[in-house]
Amino acid sequence: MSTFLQKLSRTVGHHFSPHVHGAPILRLRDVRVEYEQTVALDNVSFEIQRGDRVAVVGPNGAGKSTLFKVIAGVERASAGTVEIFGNEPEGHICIGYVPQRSQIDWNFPVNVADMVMMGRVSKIGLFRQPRREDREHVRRALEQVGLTDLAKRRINRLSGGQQQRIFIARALAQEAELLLLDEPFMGLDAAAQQSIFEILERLGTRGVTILVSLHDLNMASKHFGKVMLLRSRLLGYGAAAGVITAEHLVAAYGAHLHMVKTADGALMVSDTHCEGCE
Amino acid sequence: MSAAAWILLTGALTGVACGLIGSFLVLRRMAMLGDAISHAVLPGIAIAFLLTGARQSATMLIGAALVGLLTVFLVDVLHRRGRLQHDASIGVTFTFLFALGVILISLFGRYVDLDQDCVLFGEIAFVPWDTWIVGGSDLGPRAIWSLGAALFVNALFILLFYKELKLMTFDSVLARSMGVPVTAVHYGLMGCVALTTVAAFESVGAILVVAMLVVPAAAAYVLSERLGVMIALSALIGGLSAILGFLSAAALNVSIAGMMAVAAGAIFAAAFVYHTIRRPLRARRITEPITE
Repeated sequence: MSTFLQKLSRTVGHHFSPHVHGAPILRLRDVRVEYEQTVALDNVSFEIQRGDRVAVVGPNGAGKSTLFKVIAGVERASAGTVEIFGNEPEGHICIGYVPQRSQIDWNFPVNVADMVMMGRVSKIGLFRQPRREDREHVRRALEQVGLTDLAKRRINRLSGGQQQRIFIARALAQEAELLLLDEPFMGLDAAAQQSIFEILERLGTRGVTILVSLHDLNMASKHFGKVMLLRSRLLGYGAAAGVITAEHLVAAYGAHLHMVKTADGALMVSDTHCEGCE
Repeated sequence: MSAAAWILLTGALTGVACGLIGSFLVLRRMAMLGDAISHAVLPGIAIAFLLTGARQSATMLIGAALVGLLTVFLVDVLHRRGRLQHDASIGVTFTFLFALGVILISLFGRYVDLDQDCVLFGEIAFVPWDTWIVGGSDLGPRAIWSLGAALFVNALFILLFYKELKLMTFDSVLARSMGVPVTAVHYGLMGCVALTTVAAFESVGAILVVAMLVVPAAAAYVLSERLGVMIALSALIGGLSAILGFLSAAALNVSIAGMMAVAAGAIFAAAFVYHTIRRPLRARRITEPITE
C-alpha cells in the first residue's frame, strides 16, 4: 500500500528528490537489473565524486545503457541501491540524460532553441510558461556549444555532430550537474568528436560530473580521467592504466577478443562486435 | 439558426476538437490507440444511454471517457504484464469492447432510441432536432454543448501541459528522469481522446472519428516546422474538412460523415503532394554548408 501511495504521489506532480549534504554525487551498491531471462547488471557498486569524468566501456550488451537508465531513474534496480546526492534516483533535475542519437525522432517539429528549452521544463514548473530567465539559459547553452547561429533551424536539418551538441546544450540549459551521455561519439567524424571532447573538457573544469559510454578504449584512456569497464559486472574502475589490462579485457570481451602482442610490447585489441547493434 | 447552420457548426466543432488532440496522437505514434479508444467507448455509450435514455448527456460523456481510459489501461497491462505485442494488445482489447457495445445495442436498442447505424456511422443530419431543454427553454442542440465541452477540455489540457506533452513526446526518458508526471499526463491525454470521441460519435460515428483524429494532424505534420504551428494547423484543417465535407455532401446528396472524412483525406493528399514537390526546392535552399 505504501508503495502504491508513493507511486501515486509520483504521478500527480513533478517529483523532486532533495539532496543530502556531503553525499557523493552518485553511489551504487550491489545493483542488479534483470530483464526476463537476462541479467543486464549484476552486483555493481561504485562511487563517483563531483567533477569526475568517467568513460564507461564494455562490449555491446554489457549494460552501459541500462546503467545510465538506472541512474536516471527510468529503470528500477531489482536489487541494490542507487543514490544521487544520497537520495533515490528519480526526479533529479540535476541529471542530464542524453540518449543515443538514434533513440530520438529528429523529424519532430521543433527547432534548435525549442529543443534546448525542453531542458528547462522541470525548472519552469507545472502550469508555467518560459520566462526571460529561461530564454537566457537557452541562449547561453547554445553559445557554449557554438550553435547560436542555428537557434532557429529545424532539428532535422543538422549534422550528427550538431545534434550531439544540442543534446549537450539541452543538458546545460537544464543546469545538470551530472551528465550521462550514451554513445555520443558513435557515427561522428574525427572533427565532430574533437569538438565534443573540447566541450566536455570545458564542462569538467567547471565541476560538471560526466559519464560517457563509448566503444573506443583508446579514446577512453586518452580523454577521460577514469575508466569503468563493464560486462554486467563491474570489472574495473579507476585510472585507465589500472583498468585497461589484458586480464580485465579478456574478462570483458572474452571470445570476441583478438589480442596481438607486438614486438615493442604494445597490446592490440579488437572487439569484433559490430557497433550500434545493441 | 437554421438546421444547416447547426450541422455545419457541429461538424466544425468536431473537426477542431479532434484536430487539436489528434496532433499529439500522431506525434506519439498512437494513432491506432486513438482508433482503439474510439471503438472501445461503445459499451460505455450503450450503458450510459440505457441508464439515462438520452444521447449526449454528461453521464454518457463521462461514462464513455472512463471506458476509454480502461481501454488504455488494459492495452498497457496486456503489453507490459502479459508481454503481448503492442498492436496485438490493442487488437484484443478494442475488438472485445467494441463487440460488447454492438451486442448491448442490438440487445436493448429495440427498446430505446439508439440504433447501430447511427452509432457506427453518425447521423449529423439529425443533430439540430436533438436539443437540450432545461426548464422549458431550448438551449440548442445537445451535440453542440458536448462538442463545445470536449473542445474546451482539449484546449485547456494542451495549454496547461504543453511543455510537458512536448518533452515527453520527444524524449520520454529525459522527461521521466526530470520528474515530469509522464503517466498522469499520458492518461490525461487519453482521457481527452476518449471524451472527444464520444462527443463526436454522433456526428461522424465511431468508425470515422479516427479519420478526424488522425488525418488533419497528419496533414499538419507534413506542413509544419514547429509544434505550435502543427497543432493550430491541425485544428484548422479539421474544421475545414468538416465544412468542405458538409457542403459537398449536401451538393451530392451523400453521407455527411463519409464526405467529411473524404475531405480530410483530400486535404492530406494535397498537403502531401505539396510537401514532396516543395522538398527538393527547399533542399536546394538549405545546402549551405552544414558547419561543424
